[in-house]
Amino acid sequence: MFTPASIDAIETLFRNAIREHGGSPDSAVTTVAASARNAIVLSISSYLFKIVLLFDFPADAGKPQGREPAAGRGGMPAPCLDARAELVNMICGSAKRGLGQTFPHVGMSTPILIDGNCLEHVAAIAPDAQRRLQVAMGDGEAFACLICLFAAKDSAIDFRLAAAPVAQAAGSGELELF
Amino acid sequence: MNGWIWLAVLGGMLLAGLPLGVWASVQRERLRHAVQAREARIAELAQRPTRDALDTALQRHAADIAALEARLTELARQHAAELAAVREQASRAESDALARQRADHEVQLGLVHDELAAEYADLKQDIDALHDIVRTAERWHEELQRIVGNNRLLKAQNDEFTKIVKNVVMLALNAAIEAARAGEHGRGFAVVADGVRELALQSARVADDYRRNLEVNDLITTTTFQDMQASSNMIRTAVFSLRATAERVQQTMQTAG
Repeated sequence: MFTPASIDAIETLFRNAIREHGGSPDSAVTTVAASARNAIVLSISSYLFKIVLLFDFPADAGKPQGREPAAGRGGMPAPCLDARAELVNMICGSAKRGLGQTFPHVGMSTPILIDGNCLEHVAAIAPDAQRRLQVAMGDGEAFACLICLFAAKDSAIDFRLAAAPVAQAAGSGELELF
Repeated sequence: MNGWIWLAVLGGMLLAGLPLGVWASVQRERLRHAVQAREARIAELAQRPTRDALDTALQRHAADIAALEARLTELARQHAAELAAVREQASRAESDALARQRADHEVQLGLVHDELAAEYADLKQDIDALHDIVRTAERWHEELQRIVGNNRLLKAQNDEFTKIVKNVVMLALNAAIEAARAGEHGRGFAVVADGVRELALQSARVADDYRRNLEVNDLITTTTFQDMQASSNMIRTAVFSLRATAERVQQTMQTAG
């Protein structure tokens, strides 16, 4: 179970991480309904909780695509390490470092590219809490970031960001576990 | 007349002589006391030892004192010597005991050290084994990619199926039109065409549901696998810090041993 304050704190963590990497997480520009969407998924896990990040990118933006599965390889896609996945990786890495000050053992997965339509079915994974951020990058790219929180059974998670984070710092401020 | 003068003089002399007499006897008494005191004092002083006697006595006493001092010095020297001897003996005994104790302790320390070294070796082995677990994280990434890729294949096939179904619907529509054009003769055919169209529409709905399920499956599979991956990375961090602690223990053992 997450307290409302801790959910806010986690959202702030990701806002700061996005700003740290050149994005503005308060954009009023909604993601243009693209004919095709890509979702980049990344998970951050600890004993007490799991955070699933769903990054909603329009598939037909000017930027080069994530490498789609090469048809001739029996449906096995190449590892997804394009610019977007890299960005997702960096943003989540910053947020994870912020978490690491309170939770010493937190692990992060690699980012995976899946069909954007999967984002319609977030209810199927039943998160305990969700927050949505609309992000505009400096180079004109826009995407949505959906933060899904899952608490471990019988755990009570309540933490706050103790200090105002410094934009260029590796960590995103201190979190105190109450 | 002369008689009276002589009487007066006598009386006067008597009168004067009375206090004089009293005074004289008082003085005489005083004098007697003083003389007595003085005599007593002289007798007392006579009993005191003379200066010579005193000197002799002093000399004698000084000699005694000197002798006593010499004796005391001698005794003190003896005692100091005995004390030194006893102390030396005690310290020797103590250092012997200490040396024995230290030898014992060294033996014990050696045993403890060996035990620790053995247990450290076990611990290190366990930690190294744990470390290999983290390789599964990389394996899981590849396997997840394979599953996601397979799902894409399924979706592509489903899309193809949907297309075919749409074509069947169109075909059935056309068949109905042809059947209507054939009039009476085409009625049987029209029924079949309708049946085919119905089936095609059902198939389209099933295909739609199937596509949705594939998408849900993608999401659930991805998040599950990523959770496993992230958890194993978390364990890897824990293992690294365990290893660092174990190494510190080893260093401590080495400097202590």
